[in-house]
Amino acid sequence: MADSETSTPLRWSRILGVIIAAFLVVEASAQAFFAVWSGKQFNSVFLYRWSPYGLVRNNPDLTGNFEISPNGFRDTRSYTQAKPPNTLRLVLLGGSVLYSGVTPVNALPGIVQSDSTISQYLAERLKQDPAFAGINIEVINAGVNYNTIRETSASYLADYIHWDPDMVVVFGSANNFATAQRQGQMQARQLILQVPHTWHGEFDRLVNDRSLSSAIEVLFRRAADASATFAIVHKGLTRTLVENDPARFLPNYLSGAAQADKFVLAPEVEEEQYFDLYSSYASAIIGAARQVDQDVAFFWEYHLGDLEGVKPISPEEQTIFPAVKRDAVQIGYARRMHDRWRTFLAGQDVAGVDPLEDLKGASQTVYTDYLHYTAKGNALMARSLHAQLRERLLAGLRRRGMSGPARP
Amino acid sequence: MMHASVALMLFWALAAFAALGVVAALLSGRLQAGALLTRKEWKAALQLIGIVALVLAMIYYQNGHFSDRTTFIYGRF
Repeated sequence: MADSETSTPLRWSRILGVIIAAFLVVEASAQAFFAVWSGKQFNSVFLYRWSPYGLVRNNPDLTGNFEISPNGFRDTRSYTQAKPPNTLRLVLLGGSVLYSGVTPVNALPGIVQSDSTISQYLAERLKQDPAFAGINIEVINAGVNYNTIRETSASYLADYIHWDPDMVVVFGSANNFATAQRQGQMQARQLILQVPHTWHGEFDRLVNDRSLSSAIEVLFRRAADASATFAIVHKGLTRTLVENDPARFLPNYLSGAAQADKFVLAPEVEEEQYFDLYSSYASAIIGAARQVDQDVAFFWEYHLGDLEGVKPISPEEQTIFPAVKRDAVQIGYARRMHDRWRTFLAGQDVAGVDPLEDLKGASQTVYTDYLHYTAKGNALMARSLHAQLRERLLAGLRRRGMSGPARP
Repeated sequence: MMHASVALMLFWALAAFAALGVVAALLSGRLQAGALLTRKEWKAALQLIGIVALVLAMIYYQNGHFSDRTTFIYGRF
């Protein structure tokens, strides 16, 4: 038998037929897995899609354990770009704090669902406020992970300005001022607003690159959007070979990672220069909004690690606090940037929503990691936003002559 | 007209049904793996899948760590 097998030529059509049949078996199982896990039919496992206005947007076709709305918002409902009559529309722009993202390390378990982000809680508060009775309320969460003021301003100026919001609230302060500046970083153009976006390389590889490896990867990503099996393979490859680099166990890799330059804090003048760069983007938003009669507010995001002795740290937060606690240099930098932010906004007559007073009294678990909020934390931030923006929103409604609101 | 997503679900339901039939036939012995392909052909099929998987893994690893256009992961589920 072995002899006749070796002499018989391979029946490639039959081999391919069996592979295709086996694939169908696996695919049917993978489709069933997604239907059970996410409760909806498989569409895509990619969190983002490229956008000409601010690099990426959330993928509305995401099949995950939380929802992205058909507009690409972190929401369970969809909106029409044309604002319905008698509607107060707020568009919230920002990064992962607004999106309710979670970092993979030093985080509490669980995920915030898309009906429990800041925007849904704020919409609920406004609907329950008698001063807004009779007004249709829309609070749109247009947050995208990793956004800085650069992506936020681009997306507003080119896209969300046309959604006709009554007010735009800009989040993402923590991404712009994440860590203390080192001396010379500003001149060397190494700060986050000066270097290419972290996804720029990936964009170039997948969109502009014409190499064979790029073409194969693009082809496979397309296949992963069409097949649940390939989607799982894509996730598996990303988890094992990209997120968890197997080479991290090599001795050279470890010794290389341990090397660090001596930290020298940037002088005040360099901090001022960087803040000027930030404020140039912020000014672009403010200027454009004023031209089209839209109001603007900004929101300050505090790190959990800066709040020792300020916010009562809950028992759950205590479990991650030692890992996320920041030193005096980082806390001092955040305070100085916060003061500059305050002064800048006051000079522009723009509201700066600061949740510090609400955080001082919050004994509940507000943070799910070093920066992002739990659902309860989102509800608390919505309370700050409602309290600090209420008068401006009502003034805007009166200015537009909208029916419904009465003086409280 | 049948909605596309319903048609797709029906397709996968039929595929799952057929797949279960094949698996049941293999388990019950009514269908032998050897009747589908010879040992050499099974080996060739596995080698083909292995080569494709290896090329993919190499591309993902290269693009994740050594390319100047590296993949950056943020946000997971």
